[in-house]
Amino acid sequence: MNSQENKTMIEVENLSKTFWIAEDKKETLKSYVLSILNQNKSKMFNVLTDVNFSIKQGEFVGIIGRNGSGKSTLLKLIADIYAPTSGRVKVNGRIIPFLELGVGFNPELSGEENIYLNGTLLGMTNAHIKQKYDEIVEYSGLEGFMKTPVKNYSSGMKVRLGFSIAIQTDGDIYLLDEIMSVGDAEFRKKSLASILELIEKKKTILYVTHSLASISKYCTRCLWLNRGIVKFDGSPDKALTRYEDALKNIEELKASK
Amino acid sequence: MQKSVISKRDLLINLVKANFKMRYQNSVLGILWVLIKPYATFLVLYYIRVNAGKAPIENYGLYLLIGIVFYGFISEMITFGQMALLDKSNIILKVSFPKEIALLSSLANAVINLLINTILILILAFTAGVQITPIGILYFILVSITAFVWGLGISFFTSVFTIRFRDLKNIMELALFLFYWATPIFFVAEKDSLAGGSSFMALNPVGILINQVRAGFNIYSSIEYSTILIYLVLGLIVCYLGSKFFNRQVKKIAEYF
Repeated sequence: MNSQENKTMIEVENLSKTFWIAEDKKETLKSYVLSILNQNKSKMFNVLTDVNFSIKQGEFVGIIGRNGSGKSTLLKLIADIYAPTSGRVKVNGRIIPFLELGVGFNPELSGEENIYLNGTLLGMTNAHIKQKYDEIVEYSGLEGFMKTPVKNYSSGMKVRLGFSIAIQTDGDIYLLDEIMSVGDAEFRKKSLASILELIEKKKTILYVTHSLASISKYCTRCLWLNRGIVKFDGSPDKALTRYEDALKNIEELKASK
Repeated sequence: MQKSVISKRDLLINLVKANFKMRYQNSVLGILWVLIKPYATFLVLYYIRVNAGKAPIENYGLYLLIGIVFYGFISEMITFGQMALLDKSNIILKVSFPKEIALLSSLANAVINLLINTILILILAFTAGVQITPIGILYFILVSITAFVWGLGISFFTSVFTIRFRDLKNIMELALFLFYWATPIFFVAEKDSLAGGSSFMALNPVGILINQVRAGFNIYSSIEYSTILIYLVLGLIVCYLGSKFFNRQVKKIAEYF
């Protein structure tokens, strides 16, 4: 058991990600031609610069940082949605992404059809989803809406359904992006309980949030990203103290100006 | 590639179902549209042709219908395949899955439409008293597979290019429209004297494929195994190069949606 607990689940080495931010998207011939004549229009934007860390099994890692610091991009790189510009991400196990929950649904299809579509996208088989179907529906609390097209769902309902499918999928690594702030109080409580269950099962969790209280309460480790650079990697309490100090400094700087 | 496609078979099935539903769900006539479109075109062109004089060849009706249906198949593969990734941007940005499944699911819908329309062809052939042999049917399947291999090979390239260069959608639409009139669908190359056109016609690969489908139904042309085998081998080469290109490029597309 001990050796398993020390298994490295995610290894990030010299990871950098650069986006080309074009002021006009170069999607047509005219803008192609114009962009050649006018090269300064698009610029490089380094979202992540030389990020290094490794995560072991059973760790619950909180990721903090201001908007635009690269948190979500980091998760998408680990989830293999984006390709790194340089460096590499090594993942050892099956990833369950909880990214932009509810966005991936097909609005024209019913809740039931979306459960099957989404479930297979996460790697389940239809037979397995059939087995779990009742559980998923019950968890979401949307029993009466399974034949309704998802376009008629509220955003809260979509998120609940998305969470319910993902949480029923067996994986090794769970990527959570701001998910504890979704749904009503009751659903939040339920989802938190499920996440705590994952921790007990020694699953590895990466958790992006702006809620600092939940980081100090649950996480075993905290990564602080600032403008794409890892500013701190270690105990949550230390990370939060430094992060809050930095935020205060920024405010003081602004106030003094 | 092969392995991942098999383990994700259920995903493919669900995507095909979703595509199919999306296309016809909110229309009164629903799936009937698959038949109405080619059949209406057929009636108009047949009326014009037969009214203008006598039918140019024996079983001209079947000649025409096969041309319309098979051109429709090729044209749908090109259009669906080209939009396969762009149409699924919402899920591609959310979860990582083998992208060739997105491509296959789009092409599968063109295949389903071909199957439905084949029933129509068979009915017309039966009522016209055209003799259909098992070898002819097998040959028709072989030609269809050849066309599919080409459709897949081309879509490996166009699905990726379209994301970076959106004009390609309109360019392809225009090309398909022009090709419709450069292909012996409603005219008969040898009967209709088209000054200078017939040499081009002889080189038009779409026309050659359509004539080979006709050969399978014992109409107009005769079966040429060597021609189809050359097309099949060339198609497989395009597919191989395409899948290499696709797998290299597809990781980089997420940020261009």
